[in-house]
Amino acid sequence: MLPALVVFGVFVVAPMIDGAWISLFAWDGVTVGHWVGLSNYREALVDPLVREAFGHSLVLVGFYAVLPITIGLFLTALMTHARVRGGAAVRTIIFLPQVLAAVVVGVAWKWLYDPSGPINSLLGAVGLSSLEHSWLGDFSTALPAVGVIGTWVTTGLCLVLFVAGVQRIPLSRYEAARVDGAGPVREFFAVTLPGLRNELAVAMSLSVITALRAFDIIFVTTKGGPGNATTVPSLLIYQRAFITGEVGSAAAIGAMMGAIILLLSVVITRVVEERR
Amino acid sequence: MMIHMRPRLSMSLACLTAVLALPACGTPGASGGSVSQPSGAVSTGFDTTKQVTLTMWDTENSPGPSTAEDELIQQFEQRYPNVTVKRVVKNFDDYMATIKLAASSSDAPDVFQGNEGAVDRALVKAHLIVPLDDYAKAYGWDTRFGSSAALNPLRWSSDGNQWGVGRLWGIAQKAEVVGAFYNKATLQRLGLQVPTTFDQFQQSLAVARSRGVPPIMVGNLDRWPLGHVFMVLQAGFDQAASISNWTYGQAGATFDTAGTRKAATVLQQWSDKGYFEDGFNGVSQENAAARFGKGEGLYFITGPWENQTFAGPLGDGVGFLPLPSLDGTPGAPTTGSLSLPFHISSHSQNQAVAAAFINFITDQHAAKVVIRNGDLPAANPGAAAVDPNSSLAAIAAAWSEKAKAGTLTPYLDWATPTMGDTLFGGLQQLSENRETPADFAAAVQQDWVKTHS
Repeated sequence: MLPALVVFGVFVVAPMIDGAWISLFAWDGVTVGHWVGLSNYREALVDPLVREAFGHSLVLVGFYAVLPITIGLFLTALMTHARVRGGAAVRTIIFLPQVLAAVVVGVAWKWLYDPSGPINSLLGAVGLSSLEHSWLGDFSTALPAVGVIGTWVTTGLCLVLFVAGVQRIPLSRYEAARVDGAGPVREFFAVTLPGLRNELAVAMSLSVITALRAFDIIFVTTKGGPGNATTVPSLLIYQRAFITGEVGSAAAIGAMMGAIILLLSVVITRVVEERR
Repeated sequence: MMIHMRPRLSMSLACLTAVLALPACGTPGASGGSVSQPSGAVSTGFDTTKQVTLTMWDTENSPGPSTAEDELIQQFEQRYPNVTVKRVVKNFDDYMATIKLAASSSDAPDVFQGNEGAVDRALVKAHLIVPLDDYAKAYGWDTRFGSSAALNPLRWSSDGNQWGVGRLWGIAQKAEVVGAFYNKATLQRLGLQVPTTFDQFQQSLAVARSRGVPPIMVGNLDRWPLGHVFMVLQAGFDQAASISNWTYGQAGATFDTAGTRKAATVLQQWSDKGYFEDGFNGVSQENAAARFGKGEGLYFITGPWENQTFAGPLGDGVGFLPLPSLDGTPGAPTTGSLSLPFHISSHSQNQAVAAAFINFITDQHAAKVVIRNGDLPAANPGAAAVDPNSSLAAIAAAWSEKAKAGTLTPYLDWATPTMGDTLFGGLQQLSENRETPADFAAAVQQDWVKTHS
């Protein structure tokens, strides 16, 4: 236990505390910083750009967490009901994005979304050229477009968790439900969903965290643009820490983001996970 | 995860945390050095018997320029067999995000590129690079780049507060002038002449659009490319001096001028009329440039760093013209400067070797190597070095004309550390009609005031 604790302390806890400490300074990253107390936090709280970024995070939670979990549950219900031929192959394919590097995913989708890319070509080919779009370049579609990439990535994780969880649910419960005359929908809400509480908690924690700290895909595809339409907190942290020399402000946003993520994970675990 | 932790475990974790935290609690950045001077007497010679490894960081990652660096390094190592140069190259965004940190580490690269504006200001302020005035005298850098005024963007006061005056902190290998590359065959097919006035230029855009040719290719998903389009427009409509004063942070300067608004209005009109390729805010610049190289579109507004991307496939089929001025007078202002400067680290143990090296990669001979690889050198390579029919010849002509006339205006994003974000994000808004030219000008000026007041 102790070696693990030391590693955890050196590589996780110490940098966290260091980050919180730096957030109390005005520091450009190279010259000597000076103490400003909590003013980095005060400024971040009233900065419209920071607020906008956290708002975008909230939208991304829908795409990274709510949608994948819904889709995952739906597919799980289908799979438990009908023996899907080649189910293992389907699971593998859906899980695949999870093992790809996010940068690869981002580059691939950037190409798909290109105004002269495959998505628009397909729309044109089926006579829907009125729907052709500069997906990542349009203020109204950029954030959803980035969100869909997240949905594509996290759905596999949710599905694998749920399918594994379903296999632990005793068959007798399904038989009992059927004897009681439950249809597929009833069966899902009465047996499958309650049986997946733990998996749901894990899936929710992981996907919400992924949504809140989303960086790589956005960095590769839009860099926060057009305008600030896809700017998220982690992108601001990167920009302020490494580009514009506002390391204190970056650390403050990081600390706030860390606190929010910690709080949410505690809440999710408490609410959803079965009490022991 | 946390809530299942047993009390004893969380307590020992807290203790551990307290111990680990101790060394972290100092003022960040407090271990900076003192004002650096080149160590030892300054001359153009160095000990050629001692084995030396120089580390060099640069962001010349596009194919032509990168080959030029490799060739020059090889030649330098051949001339001085005791010197080995270790090169680290990164793309622009990654480079700018890491160079300040790399320069402040104890094993900083000996020689590295900075960036005029915020990066250089931070490097000077933190004493991470050495002043080069003595080397400049010894090697004759004052006269190498046309006029000594050309080096002004590389001068800072020793405290980094004043720009354009004081000591010299870097020298550049290449020069940049932003203008419009054009596809000669397409221009001819549309029945057009090379435009010599701004009106003719706009007419050519309209003709291209009506014939289904994308008038201006631009990939603004990267955010900055439309910035260069705006800058050359502004250089045409505003006073060159006013743009320079503003960029260099002179007191009382403002962005919110009639010329700026006019440039912003024209850019917005171009967007409305479909003069930029369809969906340009969702296209990557690399993609747009590659397609222009394959013959798509009429114009591409950018600098010489893309020359090889176009001239590689199109050869002499691609031309270059500075954006024509309103009345067609030659020598009108346009955006351009020396390219990213090379600096010598104050942590370097081999500053004399480093100076000899940056001298070697920026001199007249190096200029020929740069040209052979399709880019525009800062030093004059002498006559007959460039194929007269090439786009590079037109770029070189534009550069020397503007440099001589003193009408090159600096890049606007140098003005403040956050200006890139403010300006480029604003242009995306402007181009999609989500912001008026007046609001755009005001927002950019607001960013400037935060830094320069």
